[in-house]
Amino acid sequence: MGLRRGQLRVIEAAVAGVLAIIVLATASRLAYPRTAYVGYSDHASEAAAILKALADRNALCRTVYSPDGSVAGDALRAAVEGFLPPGRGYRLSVSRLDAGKAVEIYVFESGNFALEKASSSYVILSGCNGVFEPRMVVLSVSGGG
Amino acid sequence: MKRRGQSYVAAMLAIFVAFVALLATLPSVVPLTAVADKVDTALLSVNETLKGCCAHASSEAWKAFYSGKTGGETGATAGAADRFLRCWRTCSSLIQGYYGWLVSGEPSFEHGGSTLTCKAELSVSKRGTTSKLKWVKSIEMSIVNGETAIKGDFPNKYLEINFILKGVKPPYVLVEVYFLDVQGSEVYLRNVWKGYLLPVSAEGGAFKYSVRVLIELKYFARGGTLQYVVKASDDTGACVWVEGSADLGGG
Repeated sequence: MGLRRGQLRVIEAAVAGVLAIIVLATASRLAYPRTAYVGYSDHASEAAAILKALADRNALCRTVYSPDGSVAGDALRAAVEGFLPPGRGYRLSVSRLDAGKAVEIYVFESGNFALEKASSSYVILSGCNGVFEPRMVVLSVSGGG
Repeated sequence: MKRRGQSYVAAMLAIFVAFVALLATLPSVVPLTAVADKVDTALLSVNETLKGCCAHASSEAWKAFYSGKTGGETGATAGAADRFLRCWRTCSSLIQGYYGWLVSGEPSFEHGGSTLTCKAELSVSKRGTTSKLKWVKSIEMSIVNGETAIKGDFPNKYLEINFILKGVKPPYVLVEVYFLDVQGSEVYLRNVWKGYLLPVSAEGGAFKYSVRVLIELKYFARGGTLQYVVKASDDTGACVWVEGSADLGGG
């Protein structure tokens, strides 16, 4: 009986150890994607990746050129924020490109945006839904969060 | 003792299951891992401007078709190709100016009403490095013959149009139906089915759609044939259309 009790304790310890390892491995596996936001080499790359993701979903076309010709600012901000980690500072602007000039027609800056730490990317659009009016979307991302 | 060991293992298992369940139910955040770390926004601008110019020119082709129909002349879409090139030249010079890229090569635009093809084979160079870029957008629409007819019982007769669309991308396509309405010397294209969004479930396939449009009694009073136009636009605004006719004779 003594020998059996000893064996049982060894088995208990082994099972506990295996379970602990499985728990840690599963936890790290499940938790890993939540940190994938910071997988960019710099803020400019992060901004570029977000602009591309929005372009692929045609969200830039729909929000930069709303049916009345203005910028659907709230929708554009929501689309950008969907790809940014919470707390990250950003500045978003849309400019009309006309006769060699860029005229800013929409701008939004989050409260925690830090210009001195920011990097930007931009994309030029020609229009949407038959409209021809070149516009440029500039997304600047700064640290934080 | 044995029972205590078993309950210890059971407790460990319960903790493990609870922990995994907790982690699994936490709100997950979509990572951007699917997007390449280095996105060339100049290339993105080339793509986006081509897309916009294609939609712009196809919209101009529709305007030409529309005015051709209502003016009693043959709708000409040739001017749309010029619009496309003008749009692209403006955009390529902007891309050149803002990114310092040299973009050469002229894209092409063809609109045959039911077919739209925008293509580009461009050379882009920067700091002595030149790379080739290919871009193409093609949409095709056709009526399914034999399945498109006036159906139903008078006075609730309707036109059932079955058509196939190729090349449209998810998530939707905007469909409109127009009836040609001749009143004396005036000809109108009446928009009788306004902007319905039909779903597109996958990219690259051919999708068959069926729409039903109630026909006003005045068309039966005139008799003859009912001429209609079905127009489909994707989410960028690029559009194609098909014309058809159905016999109103039976009343």
